[in-house]
Amino acid sequence: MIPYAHVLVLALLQFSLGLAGMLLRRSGIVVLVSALVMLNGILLILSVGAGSTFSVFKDHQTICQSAGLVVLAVMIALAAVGICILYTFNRFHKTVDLDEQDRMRH
Amino acid sequence: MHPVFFWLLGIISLVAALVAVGHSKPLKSILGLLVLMVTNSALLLSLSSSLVGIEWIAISLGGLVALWVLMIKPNRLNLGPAGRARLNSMRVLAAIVLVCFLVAIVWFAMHKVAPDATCPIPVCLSEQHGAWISLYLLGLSTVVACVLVLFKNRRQSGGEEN
Repeated sequence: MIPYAHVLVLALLQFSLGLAGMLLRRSGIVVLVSALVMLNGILLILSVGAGSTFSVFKDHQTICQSAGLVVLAVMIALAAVGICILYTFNRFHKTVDLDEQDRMRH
Repeated sequence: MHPVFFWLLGIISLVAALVAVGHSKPLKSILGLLVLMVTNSALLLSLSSSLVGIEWIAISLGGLVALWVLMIKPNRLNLGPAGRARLNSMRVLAAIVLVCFLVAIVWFAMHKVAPDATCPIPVCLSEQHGAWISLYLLGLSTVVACVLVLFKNRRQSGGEEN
């Protein structure tokens, strides 16, 4: 049986990688992908809590599963809206570099 | 599940996350994200969280198919200028995958997460059921939005060419 701490460590590593990508990268697509990597880490924690392996969350399986599905829905919405914005921006400005996004103000 | 197997999958997922975050090419970055999602769904399935795991792997495989069709082999779909729509093998395959995905979601919503016997489905919905329906509606609206954007793009491209 896997201790819950192992899952937490893995999820936190994924979350940290995504956070680093969001802070350090400038390409819009990579920033969007980094946000999805962060949400993957959160979803891993919630969904593993919904499994029957861990007795800590055994009474809260339904709550964890519902929260996991809601996070999954948020991921899909984030991906769809982000891709639409980047697609439109790339269509008009021929770049997805986030440093160029201040052109929206002019 | 043995911890060695868990960490084997974990290292694969971390490498995929590193590729997704660190690669300079967007296509490789998205591919890394999809590999990460597939690995995470394998982790969930092996840790007996089957409901979200199956849903996650379905979304990841759908994303892989969309990536393959729209970015790796876009000419197979004939999404260029406007014109008479023709059926080809890739379009038929994409339609079959979409129908299977939607049918699977509806099936799981109806059978796996049924509310208790005293409260039938049309009268009141459980939290899980509401989450499934919201996910289903979000997926459907995403597909509709993508189709609308593609058709508008095709019409504009056709108008510019004419």
